[in-house]
Amino acid sequence: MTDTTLASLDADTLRLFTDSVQRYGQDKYGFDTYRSSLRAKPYFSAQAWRDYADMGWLGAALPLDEGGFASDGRAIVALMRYAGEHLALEPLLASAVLAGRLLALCGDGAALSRLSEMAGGRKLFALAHVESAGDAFDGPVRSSYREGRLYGDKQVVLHGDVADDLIVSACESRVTGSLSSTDGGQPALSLYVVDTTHPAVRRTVYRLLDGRGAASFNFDGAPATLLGPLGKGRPLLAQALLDARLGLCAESHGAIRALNRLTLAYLKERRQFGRPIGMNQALQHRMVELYMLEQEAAAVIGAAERAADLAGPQRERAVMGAVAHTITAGRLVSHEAVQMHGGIGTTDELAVGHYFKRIMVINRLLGDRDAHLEAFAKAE
Amino acid sequence: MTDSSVRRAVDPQAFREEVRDFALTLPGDLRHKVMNNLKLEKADYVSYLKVLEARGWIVGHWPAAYGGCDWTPLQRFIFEEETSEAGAPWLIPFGVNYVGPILYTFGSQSQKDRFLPRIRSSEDWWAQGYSEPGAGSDLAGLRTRAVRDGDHYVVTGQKIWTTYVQWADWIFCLVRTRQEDRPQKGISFLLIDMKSPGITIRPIITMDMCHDVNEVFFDEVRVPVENLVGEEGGGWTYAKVLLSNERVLVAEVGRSTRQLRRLDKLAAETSRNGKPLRDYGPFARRLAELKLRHFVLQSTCYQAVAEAMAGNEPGAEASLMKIRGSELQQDIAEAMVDALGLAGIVYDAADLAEMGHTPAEGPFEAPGILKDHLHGRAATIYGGSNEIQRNIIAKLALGL
Ligand SMILES: Cc1cc2nc3c(=O)[nH]c(=O)nc-3n(C[C@H](O)[C@H](O)[C@H](O)COP(=O)(O)OP(=O)(O)OC[C@H]3O[C@@H](n4cnc5c(N)ncnc54)[C@H](O)[C@@H]3O)c2cc1C
Repeated sequence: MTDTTLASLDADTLRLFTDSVQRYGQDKYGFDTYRSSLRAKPYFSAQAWRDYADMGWLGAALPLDEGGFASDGRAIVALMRYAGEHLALEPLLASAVLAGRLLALCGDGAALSRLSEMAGGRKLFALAHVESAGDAFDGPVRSSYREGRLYGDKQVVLHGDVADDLIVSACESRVTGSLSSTDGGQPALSLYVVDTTHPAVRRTVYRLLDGRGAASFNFDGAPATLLGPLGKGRPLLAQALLDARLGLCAESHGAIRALNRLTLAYLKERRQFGRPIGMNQALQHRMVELYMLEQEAAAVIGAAERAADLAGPQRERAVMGAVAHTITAGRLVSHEAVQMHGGIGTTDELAVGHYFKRIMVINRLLGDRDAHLEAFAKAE
Repeated sequence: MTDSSVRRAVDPQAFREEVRDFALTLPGDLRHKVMNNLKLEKADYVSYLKVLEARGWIVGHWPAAYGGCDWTPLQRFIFEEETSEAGAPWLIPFGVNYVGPILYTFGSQSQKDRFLPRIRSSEDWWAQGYSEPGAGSDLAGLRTRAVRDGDHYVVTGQKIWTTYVQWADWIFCLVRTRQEDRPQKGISFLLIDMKSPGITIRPIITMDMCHDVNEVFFDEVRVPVENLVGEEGGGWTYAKVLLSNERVLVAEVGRSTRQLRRLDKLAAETSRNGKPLRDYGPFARRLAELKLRHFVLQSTCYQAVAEAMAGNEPGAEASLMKIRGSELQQDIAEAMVDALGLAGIVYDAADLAEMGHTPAEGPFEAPGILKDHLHGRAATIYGGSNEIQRNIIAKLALGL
């Protein structure tokens, strides 16, 4: 078989996947599903989660030979665009994309056995990396691993409230000194997997602004298993985070698209001074701006997808640039959606405010705009 | 003798000192709640009004004949600026700023005697019933009907976005008493007792998950004719006076001063990847830009106050201050959320309710900062949206 046939086969699979994701969103995951899931633990739809697993979606970030869809990031994009468009609350980013990519990249026995549990929806995973909530994302890591056990604190772990297993970044005492110079002056990190039900794991659960659950953790000698090669945590994280960031852009794009649809419809429907408010050119030009931002968001996501095969810095540049732009776009689109809806846009009743809050989370979750802009400029 | 010639010449600096000293005496728990944007209950607002009453300042800007202090526009501005900056709660405007002045300007003697003392003593909580589902920016499109039936008006219709009407004893409403060729002409100004049969309130939860605004339904509510203010059909004129009163204060410059100071503190105390946030280039620049805009806004306000002191009618500058004030307020609020880093995505409205409640994540101020940001999105919508304000400037200042 040649490369071409492989690629076209893949394109068909991808189209099927994308179609099935879109159809599910339209038929099964309306605003009502979202709202009722917000109200009951585990703050997402357990039914939807089972459906995703049955349909094989949780393999979106896994390589083909692990039963996944990912020869590149396109399946991640389709899945996360769905999440943004429908405000899906399930741990798609945390478990399927971020943990899925990390486990696949680690690729050793410990990782691969967990990979199938994740993809089957039998276990939920989350990444526990950030240690100071004040930091944007990639702050210093002080958690440490000694003789099979983990010590330290982690904060704002998305879906940490329900995660069965955590992937935790920590310093291993033996490698800290020797590798520090090769890791940008920071101590080398390794990745470990930790069972959250162990008594040496203390979990404080809370909710994010967008209604999803999260948690902070304290590890006081929790048993931990090494994932992947020792001391290679940072490059592994960097790579998996690029895929997660691509997913985040797609989630943002889905939300942007949904919001723009709502705002445009409202401009045509809401009448003041005897005519639709959208007849005012002052609002028309602003709606045009939002439309352009949405088109550009789709374009940069496409560029970041196509960069999958490029060398490290080029891919990094494309993904970081895509995040920086979608943060700008999401911010303006959500602000303007509320504004152009007037009072009704500020209520909990309408979807607008829910998208507003979701975008606030998206725009900060893996670092803010400044951090991404700097990374974009540096990657040239 | 004109109004201004009887005013004592006041030394603004001395008055400012006086207000500052007074602000220091505000109850500590109240200040704490305001400083941290925690949830204020009716009792909190009323306790502030009571403190003002005791000091003789609750209606400082009213004429002395109605129990006020004849404050000049400058005094009133200084009072607002200094108290807000020091952490005084929002001075609930519905009685003292909105309906009070309408009553002493347009009301009957018996209305003045009946309502003004109860506003000064905070016995009555007032709400503002203007907006309707179909009449927001286009307020003259309102449809709530008041039909004359003997000694009463029978009111049927719906108001929306009514702030704190759940605590109100009275609501002042714009109602339609007649269909006219111009929609503004058939509108009247009615005072309605909230205890009247036929009134239902439905809460609206906003995206900060708080309950401040409501829908109010009127189902054949009987309102005595004596509760009509001024002439039947004169409501629009009275309301316009009120709206321009509202706009002078909307710059909320004192509040922005307070919030900027807190942002400064947050930026100094928060570390971003090992360094204080204020030393991080992009954030330092953003902070500087916000301070510049605050300086510009403050300058605009003082210029407008000087115009008012000279006896000139407010023109388009009131709209300018509303636009710039609300935009600045929103951008400061957003910068504060950004300063929180990841703690800025954790939110539980329950954390706003209690004194000494610690949020699950991030600094103590975090929940209030988020609430302020979410709630603040409405600042460019209420009191005449910023789009409408720009339309006003286009027409009034530019003749477009
Ligand atoms: C938190 C909050 C508290 C409030 N409290 C009160 C209260 O106590 N009492 C009360 O009576 N009301 C209150 N209001 C209502 C407020 O005054 C209205 O929301 C406001 O007048 C806007 O009306 P609307 O919400 O119907 O928006 P719409 O008028 O429907 O406007 C929707 C959008 O269209 C824009 N638009 C409309 N016309 C034009 C035009 N000609 N040109 C350009 N753009 C235009 C608007 O600017 C806005 O962006 C409150 C509102 C809020 C959000």
